[in-house]
Amino acid sequence: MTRRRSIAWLLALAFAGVTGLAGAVPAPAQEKVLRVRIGMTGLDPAKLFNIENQTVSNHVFNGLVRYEYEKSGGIVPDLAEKWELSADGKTYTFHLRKGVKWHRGYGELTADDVKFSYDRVLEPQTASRYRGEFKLVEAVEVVDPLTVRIRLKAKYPGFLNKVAAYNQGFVVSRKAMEKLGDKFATEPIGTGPFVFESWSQVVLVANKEYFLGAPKLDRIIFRVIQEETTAEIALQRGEIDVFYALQNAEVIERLSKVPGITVHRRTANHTINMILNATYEPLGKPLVRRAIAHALNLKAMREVFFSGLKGQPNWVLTASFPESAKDLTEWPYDPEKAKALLREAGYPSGFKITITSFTLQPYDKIAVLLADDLRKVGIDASVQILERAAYLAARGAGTPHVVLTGVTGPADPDQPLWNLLHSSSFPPGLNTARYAGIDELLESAQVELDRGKRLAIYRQIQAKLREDVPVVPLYNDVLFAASRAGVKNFAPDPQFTMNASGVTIDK
Amino acid sequence: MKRFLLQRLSFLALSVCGAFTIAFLVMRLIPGDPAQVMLGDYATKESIARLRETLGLERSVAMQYASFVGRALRGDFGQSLVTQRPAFHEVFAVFAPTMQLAVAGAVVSMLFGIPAGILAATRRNRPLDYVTMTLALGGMSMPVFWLGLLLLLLFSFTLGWTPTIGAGAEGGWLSTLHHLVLPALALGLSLGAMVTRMTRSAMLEVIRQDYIRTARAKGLRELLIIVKHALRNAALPILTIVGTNFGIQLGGTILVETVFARPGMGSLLISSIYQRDYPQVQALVVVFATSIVLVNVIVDVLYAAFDPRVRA
Repeated sequence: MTRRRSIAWLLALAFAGVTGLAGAVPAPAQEKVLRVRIGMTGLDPAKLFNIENQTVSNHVFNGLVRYEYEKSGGIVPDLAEKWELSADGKTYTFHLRKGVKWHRGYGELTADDVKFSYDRVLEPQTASRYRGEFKLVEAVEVVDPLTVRIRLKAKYPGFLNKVAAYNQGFVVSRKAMEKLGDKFATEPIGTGPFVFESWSQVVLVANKEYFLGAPKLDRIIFRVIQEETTAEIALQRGEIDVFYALQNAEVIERLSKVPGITVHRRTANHTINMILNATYEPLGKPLVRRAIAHALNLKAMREVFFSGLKGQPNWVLTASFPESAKDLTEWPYDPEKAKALLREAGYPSGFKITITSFTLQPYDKIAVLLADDLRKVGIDASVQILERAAYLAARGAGTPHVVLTGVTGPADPDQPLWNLLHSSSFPPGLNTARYAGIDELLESAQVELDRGKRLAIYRQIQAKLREDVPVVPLYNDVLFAASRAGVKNFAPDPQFTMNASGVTIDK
Repeated sequence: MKRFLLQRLSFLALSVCGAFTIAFLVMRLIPGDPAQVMLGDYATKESIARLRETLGLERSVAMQYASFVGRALRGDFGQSLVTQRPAFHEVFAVFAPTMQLAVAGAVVSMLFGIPAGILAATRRNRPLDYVTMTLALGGMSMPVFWLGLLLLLLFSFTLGWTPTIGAGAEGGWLSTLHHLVLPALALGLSLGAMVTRMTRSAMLEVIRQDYIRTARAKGLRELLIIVKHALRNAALPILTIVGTNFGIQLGGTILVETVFARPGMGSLLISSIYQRDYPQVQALVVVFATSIVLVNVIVDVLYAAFDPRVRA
């Protein structure tokens, strides 16, 4: 899924883990409190969005499988202790753990809950934002109370990513959902390491019955801190334990120098891209798009404007993906070459172009930088900054010449590429470039079971993107977080979220 | 007096209706669709259409308005589109910290502004007057946001006297007060500057009057003359500015809440506008407007108390 919206939030708010309010509310001696609170909108997995909601959900729900970011980097059992894939690659059978309990006495997890959760995402009535993620699911069947079978329409080796503990992969309790209805979003019932306690101030309490053992923290409190300087002070004063998602270069630099504060840095599966709308005549020509790629001084943007806090994105797949072809780098900054390409394409004196962006740091500012670079090679570029909802409406209509769009996703490379560049991804969707050049390659990668061959296809895809330049990836986001001395085992993950299940705090 | 009150209260109802109607229309006239914002990047056409229907957005604006007003008259202001909880419920969850902040800010602005204004007026065109007025000009020009950060750096970070974030509601009233000190200072000081200027000019008007000269001639103590004879008569314009300031103050809470990471109506309003959460924005506007108008009705009533001529 994309994180442009989520980034919007992140930039606007830093969320922070907090401990004991300066003596105001001292925690009981044995209680360990990690406080983190964020702007929350609802925790129904079928509709989950925003990093804030996703981060809290990570603690409340489980998927059939989950990503193990720190050790193997691969997919490991979660609610399903094992699974089999049929010979034709189209049927997955998952065997659930025995005795997994729902929070607040909603009974034990059964295969029926899994079927209910995934059917619910597919059911049009739910209006789930992740219905497309299950587009290859033909049926979810209950074999017995602890066995669930998922039949696919076609073989799809990336399928485990769809049932991993993330968004639509989260399993909800049928009983709780049917009882609570809309209220489920603010009173979620899951199987995860923490039980959701309160909404107005988001508090999670340890699930002592968690199937992997009770977490070390007793409570997690989430707080919204929009102003990074405020969070910086609160962290140093010990009012918060974890300051999640720092963006401000000066704050990052200052905190890095404070003894006892650890600044964590993690490359996220997230690129910000300049989308070139091919239905706008000049941008329909590959030579023009290549000229634009040469005209942009992206290295300067990353190193000077972002103080080196962003990475080089390559071609949509960031370096955090094993499939990333690291040698296929971006086109070098070369204004002379750009002018030559424009002449060759039949635009010796340039053309008019508008870059549409929205009112949020840094998207408003980088639009100005990009327009400035384009003007230097003779393209008459202007900037249109819209408020976010208006921006979404304009992008949804597909009319702007150029928009800025971020894509991210779980460890599966299919998601960002498909969502950004498959011809079926507009309208509605993100492919406002109207690109169709990698459809067949993406489709063949989806059903290729051989890992080596899949890698080769993804390499081919990235090479093709480099030739065609339907989008210009601008930078790769790096996630920063800071924690206080005494906070152990904290790590942000490449999905831009985190899980505090293993975190401990020495007081 | 009764007629006066009735008049003011009907004015209140009218103002709130007006504010609500404007909010209702503006939210629907600006581009952006709540269903699209809620469903995000991968929403299908059908799911957007379905959600719009569920939210009642397919009907004409006039129909939506009529049905909303109908329900509002029965006390139902709808549910937040985002959280699915009653919109008013969401507002009242954060009402207290915002009102505490606005009232504390008003108190701070008077505590600083009135004595400073009196001081400046009684030392007219002398160094103390210039210093006070320069400080007041500085205070008025200083953005609340910036002042808040400076206060945080000094009192929380360097001196360690005050907490940095939150409203401290979970720690009892003492903790609430402790958490209120800096935000109230940030909000009150910049508005206090306006109160200072208003107090000074009102006092200068009064001090020139004959009855003050008479009081002096009688040999009354200067402090008594200032407080009892001059200030009481200068109270009306000061009261006016405190009343009008209250609206600005509620607006200012939005920024102050951001700096001090306080829960409140301001932060809720901002996020609701971004989400195009129509019912939530409407509920907030109704509460904001009612509070502002109510405070001004109180100010009007106080006018009457201070000045019998108003009652006539």
